[in-house]
Amino acid sequence: MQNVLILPILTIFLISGCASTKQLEIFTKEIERTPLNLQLPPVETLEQVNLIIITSDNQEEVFAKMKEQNIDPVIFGYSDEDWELVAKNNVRMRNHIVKLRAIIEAYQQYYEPEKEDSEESKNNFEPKKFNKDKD
Amino acid sequence: MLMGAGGGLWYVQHLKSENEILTLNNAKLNDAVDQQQAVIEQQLKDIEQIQTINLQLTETNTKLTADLQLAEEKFNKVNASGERRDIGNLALNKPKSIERIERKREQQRARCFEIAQGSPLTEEELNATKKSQINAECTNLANPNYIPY
Repeated sequence: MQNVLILPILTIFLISGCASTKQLEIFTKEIERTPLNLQLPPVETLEQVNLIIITSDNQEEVFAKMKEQNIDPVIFGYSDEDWELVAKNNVRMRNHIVKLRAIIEAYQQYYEPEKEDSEESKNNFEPKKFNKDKD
Repeated sequence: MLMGAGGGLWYVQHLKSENEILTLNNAKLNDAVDQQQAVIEQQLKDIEQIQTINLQLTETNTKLTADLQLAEEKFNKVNASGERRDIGNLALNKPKSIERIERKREQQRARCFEIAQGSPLTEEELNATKKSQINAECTNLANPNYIPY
């Protein structure tokens, strides 16, 4: 009777000794965010603008010449002081473009180091040749 | 007796499995240390890169400030006799030549905008070392090899 009790107990001990609880494995795999891949816009070429200097002395001559060339004899002008401001504003705008571009390129360089930044748009650009000044 | 032997066997098995778990845990900890080391190395590289980028941006800003300063000076240049340049007065006396100069400047301004947008510099611009060869509107951008004299 005692053997009947001991045998199952021993069997249970032996089985539980061999059995092992499997460890739970949690796999974490980093998935990179899809790169935005935006290209910088191609270089914009500005149109050639003809500057006319008009004074009280040459105004008649200038307007006559404009009529001769079938240009409406109208001038949208600046005073010398304002022309100075326009020139400085140009520099400010240009500087701002350079700064923004430098920041964009720095971000690209930092977050997408293996990608060459917009080399395509850089290399395909040919600087525009303007005509000689027309008098 | 048998129970004692069974208990002992169970205990040994238990110790073995505990040991295996500890070995695995140790390996994982080693991996974690390696990963942390890699993270620290990457962070150091990032810091270095951030410093380089900041330095580059500061250099660019310095050049741009110099260009703006140049534009300010161009209109307010003082000549040898101590008079301030007055473009209005110059234009009154020599409208044709000032017109020619300003038209040329306008073309140079247009080119400066292209360079600002990322247009590569031409050979001529790169090799410009004389005053007559430079883009007077954005010398710092267009003619990196020009040294003012």
